[in-house]
Amino acid sequence: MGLRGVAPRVRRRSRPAVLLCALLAWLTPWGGGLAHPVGVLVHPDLVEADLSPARLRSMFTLRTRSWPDGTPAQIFVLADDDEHHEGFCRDVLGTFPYVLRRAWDRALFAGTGLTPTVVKDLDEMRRRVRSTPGGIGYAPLAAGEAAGALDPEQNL
Amino acid sequence: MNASVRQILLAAVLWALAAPGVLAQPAADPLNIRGAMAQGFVDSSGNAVLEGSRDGTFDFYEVAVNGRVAPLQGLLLSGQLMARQAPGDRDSLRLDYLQLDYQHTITPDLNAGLRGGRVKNPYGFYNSSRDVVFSRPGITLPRSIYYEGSGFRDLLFSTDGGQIYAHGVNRLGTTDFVVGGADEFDASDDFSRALGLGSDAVQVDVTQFLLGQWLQEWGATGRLRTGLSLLHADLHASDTSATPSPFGNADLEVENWVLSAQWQQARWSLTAEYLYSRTEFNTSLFSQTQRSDGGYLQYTRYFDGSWSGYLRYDVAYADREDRDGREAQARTGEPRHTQFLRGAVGGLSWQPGAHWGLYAEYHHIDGSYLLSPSANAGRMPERRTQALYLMLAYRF
Repeated sequence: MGLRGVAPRVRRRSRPAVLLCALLAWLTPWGGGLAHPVGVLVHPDLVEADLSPARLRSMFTLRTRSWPDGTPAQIFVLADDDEHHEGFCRDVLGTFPYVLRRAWDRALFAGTGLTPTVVKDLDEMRRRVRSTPGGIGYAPLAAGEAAGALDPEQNL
Repeated sequence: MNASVRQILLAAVLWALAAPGVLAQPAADPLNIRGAMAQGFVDSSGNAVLEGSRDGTFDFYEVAVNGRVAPLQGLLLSGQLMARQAPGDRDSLRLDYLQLDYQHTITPDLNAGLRGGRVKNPYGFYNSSRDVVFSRPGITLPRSIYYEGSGFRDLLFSTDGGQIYAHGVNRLGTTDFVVGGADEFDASDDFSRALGLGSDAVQVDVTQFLLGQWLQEWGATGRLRTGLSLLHADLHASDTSATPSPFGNADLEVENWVLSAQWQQARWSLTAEYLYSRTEFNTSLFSQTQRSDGGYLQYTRYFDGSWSGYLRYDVAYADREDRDGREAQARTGEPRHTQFLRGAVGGLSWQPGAHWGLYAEYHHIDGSYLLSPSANAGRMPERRTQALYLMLAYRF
């Protein structure tokens, strides 16, 4: 899952622009650390749902508010700096916690979506997803378990 | 902020803080109340970037309280009250938006919806949530795209009207479209403030307002985002003052195109936006077409979970065929630096935890185009401006 692109080019005309580009070159990127592998957790009624990374990203960035049957999606997440959240963003959605945070803030302050519920730990994540119709979250995969829609009843 | 505004906002904030059930379980509760407040400080030399900023001012704040409820399947009702004192913004309580949104899932990969009421205008990456520091790319927005400080921002911000939107997952990635329009509205206050005129000096009616935006996240990860935004407005300006204003009686046709691109990585992002603006002035005496443009490049570095830093280079030109302002100077006698702006911006933000944010930003600006005329009323603009912005923000 990867995409290579080209950063927008600018014409360097003045001293501040040259300095800016020099700083960009100096600040080279580095990747994040490895988190526990995680899978998607859904309400027991939704375990058959077909969840591609792009569909998941649409839902977790609040642009898709409902499941195909019309049930409102109730999204549960851990704190931005939680290793499982980072792992979910990177390994399942193909994105990063700051990208989701910005999407949530845009939706919150522009009024275009219901922001996710932040839970305090994985136990609460499983409990809330299991008990909330339309619930979706994530949890570490058990040994030998394949990524996909995990029923929280089976993921305790 | 006057006393009544402060009391209303304080009551709303206290109510929200005193309702832990609402805050702890926002998605599952019927009514979800959230908000943010921020207090800033600005000190500038050269030109003022905000009234009083040349002496340093704390008269720089923003308070927003919003709520949303999903009364029926597919429906979302949301609204936000806001009071803000900032470059180009006014000190009063306003209804920022109040909109009813219906979204229908057509297929698992496609949904579409309608939004009506007082709606936020999608324009560039940041316009729809521009007035809360947590959802901006820094304390300030790039002046070149968002007219921050010029007073024309309110034309962009939110309008009474409707929008149709669609979101789809496809083999290109994910695609978002929105088109919208607004009722005729009175923009006299915005223009008067932008031009540094008295409140009754000019009557400006926006007779047509249309916008459209296409946002695309490319590929499976969406790490490359691009955008194309169009805004079209027809305005009629009438001189209502005893002394003639620069507008006189005129019809204006404004067309703004914004190209946006963002490349996201784990520890950094690079964002660029470009604006091309074409304005036709028609009066009984003359007709004129002005083409202006500008853009910025911003590099943001995420140091760890709570610190980030950013560097921005922002340029804007009143006339893209007279970028150094010499023709305008020969024609009007105004200093040529009133026709361009080149700004280098460096900023740091610290967000320890989910509620607090502390921001600092330094601007070095060459040129006085798009700097607030009202903040600099009564003095000749200077070519160079340095400004330090600080802001402490809290969200709930």
